[in-house]
Amino acid sequence: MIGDSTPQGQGHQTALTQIVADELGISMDDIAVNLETDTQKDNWSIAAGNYSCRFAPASASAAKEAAVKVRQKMTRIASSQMNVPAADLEFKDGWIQSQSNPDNRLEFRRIGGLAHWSPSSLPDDMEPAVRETAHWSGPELTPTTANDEINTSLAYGFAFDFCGVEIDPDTGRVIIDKYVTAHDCGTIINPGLAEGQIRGSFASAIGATLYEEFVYSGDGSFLSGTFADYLIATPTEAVDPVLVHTEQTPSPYTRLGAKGIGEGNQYTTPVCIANAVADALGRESIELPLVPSKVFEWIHAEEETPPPKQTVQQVKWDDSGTISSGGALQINADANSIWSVLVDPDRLARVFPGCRSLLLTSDNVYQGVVDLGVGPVSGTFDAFVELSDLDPPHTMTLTGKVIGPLGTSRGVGIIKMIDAGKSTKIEYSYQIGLSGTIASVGGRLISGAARVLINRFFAALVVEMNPDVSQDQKKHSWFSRFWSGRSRKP
Amino acid sequence: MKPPPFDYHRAQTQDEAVNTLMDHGSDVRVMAGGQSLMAMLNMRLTQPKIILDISGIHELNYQTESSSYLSFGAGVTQAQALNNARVVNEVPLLGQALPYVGHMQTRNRGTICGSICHADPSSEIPLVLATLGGEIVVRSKTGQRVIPIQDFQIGLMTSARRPDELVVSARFPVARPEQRFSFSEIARRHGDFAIVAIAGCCDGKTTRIGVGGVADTPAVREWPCLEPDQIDDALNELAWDLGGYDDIHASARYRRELIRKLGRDQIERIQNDQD
Repeated sequence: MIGDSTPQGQGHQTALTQIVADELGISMDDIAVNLETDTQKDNWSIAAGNYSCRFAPASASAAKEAAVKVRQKMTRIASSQMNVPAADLEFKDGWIQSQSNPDNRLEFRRIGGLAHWSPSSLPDDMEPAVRETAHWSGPELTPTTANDEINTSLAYGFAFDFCGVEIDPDTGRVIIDKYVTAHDCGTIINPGLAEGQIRGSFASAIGATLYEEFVYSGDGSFLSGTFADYLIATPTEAVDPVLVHTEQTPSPYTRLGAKGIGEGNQYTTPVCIANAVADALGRESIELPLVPSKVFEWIHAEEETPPPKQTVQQVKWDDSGTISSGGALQINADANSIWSVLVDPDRLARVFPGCRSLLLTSDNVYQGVVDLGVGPVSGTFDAFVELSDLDPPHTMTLTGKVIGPLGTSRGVGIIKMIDAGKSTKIEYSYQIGLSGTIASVGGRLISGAARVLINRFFAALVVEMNPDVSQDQKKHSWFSRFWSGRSRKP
Repeated sequence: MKPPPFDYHRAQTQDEAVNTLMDHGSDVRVMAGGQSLMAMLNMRLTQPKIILDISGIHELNYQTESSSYLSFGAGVTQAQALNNARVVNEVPLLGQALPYVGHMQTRNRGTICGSICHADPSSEIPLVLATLGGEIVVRSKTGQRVIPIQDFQIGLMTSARRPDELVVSARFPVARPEQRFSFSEIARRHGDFAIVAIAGCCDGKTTRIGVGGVADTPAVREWPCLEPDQIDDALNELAWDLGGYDDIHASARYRRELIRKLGRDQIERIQNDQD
């Protein structure tokens, strides 16, 4: 038996074998099924493949039709060989026999072999060999409308689910205590396979409900590009659903009355769990997946505990994928000296992290090559920096981008200098957006890496100005951490 | 998902590994279990010229105990440590944390020292070592030095190991009878990178909390044992001090909240166990 359902482990071979064995009265062991499909040489239609519950309604119907055609042809051959009216023949236990006189019988394989070995023994108008092809299509598969609308569904299964969830208010984690699922998928071809379909569909729906998400930044960079960031449900996350006895209300449209069951929980489970969460939280709008961080913020509107004092400025990562932060530090040099570093290509090259070369290409526009990286993640980038809004020695804006094999980064930084005699207070803020490989596979590292590079820039600026870092600044957590690291580097 | 071209050196002895590092320095990435490095190579986030595989160096596969610490050679896998009864008895915090490290399959290859060297801010093993105040032993052609863990972890995925040095062992302080420990972690799924991991240690006089997953390196704070009405303030200060960051799995605020909630649970547990 050859078919076009292209399964990935749903047991199509088993189900098709059952259908054909039942029709032809032979052992399942004697049926070989090959579902590998090659659209260049194999018979296929738009209904081929494994989607939209194609198998039980469509593929199984076609298998039934093909088996009936084989049976009809073999009945004609057997009828002429055994001299028995076709209506009296039955296919049973590997034999084709007369119902009125069971002693008059021939082995199934003999009749099949006859069509192969001795075509001249066949009834007069019959083609040799027993090979039948059947196509099956539901009557509801009508052409597209003028507006290109089409209904591709052959039959509709029914499902009813309910569940109880618990939400940990401390962590926002949703725990599924009990999940009950009931189905009507029409005729069940194989109860074990039907249960497997429910469980598999349910497990993957748990992934969709709690974990799986395509995340993009504002510039379109794909941020969940690995299975460390695009989380799927694994056996560890599995929930054991309670399966209620499956009803069988056959479809009037499909050959066996089967309606399909594989996609049932894909549709019901995310909604059912979302409804339970909505009920638990008294919240109208539930957006999946139920990421604990998000659920936590649904439960607790505002952060109750304010910062005890002025602390390090927070790094923000907004919806557009831009990281923004800032900070302040004190450098023991006057503002004019610091300013002169920032506008001198040679001196700026010394403070720019990983700078290999930096050239002034036109007024206030620099171009260079930089090695950027954090720990083992590193690459060589082409860097472009433009200084603008210059108000020496008070403020400037740096706009730049770096381009390299790991991706592209664009950023804007504003530096303000407040002269305090022998020392200068520098306040800075920055916004950085990333795209490319680093954005899609290194999501966890992005904000940390940006912070490290900014810190490196200012640490190098401090070195360039050659002052002592004030005791006060050593308490500045990131700075002291970085500083202690840098001094130990070779 | 194919790594860039690299040369592969499989060292049989410590000396051979140290010589390779001496000759090639920062062109080399050392690989023990490869559970982080292989993924980074395949995504081409890292492109070293040479991979130095130290997993075949038998002399680095030891777990030895002194009066003050349990020492893990650089070849010891996380599974070996988890199956070592002395780890549970002598370094219970490590015993509590190891089941959170990846999965059984990754622990079978991933090493104790490799995780520390990789210095991922979410990793459990560096957090345990930082909370306990352990040490790292590195060797180079010119000799050996012992680096306290707080000086070893200097930033995001960045350690104080010089390019010519090989980490040969990690020393975990042996628990004293009066010490109580706890470990907890919140991750999206079991074995995922920790959103927040918290390690606690109390000896009846001081209470120490280590936080992973929030700052660039594990952050450790120590207080005299906290009165019930002091705990929230202490943790709030710690939470704001570390700040946290937003990523696609959790917000900075969520990380701060977990420090407050999980931190309180742990402090209460380890302080109350004293009675």
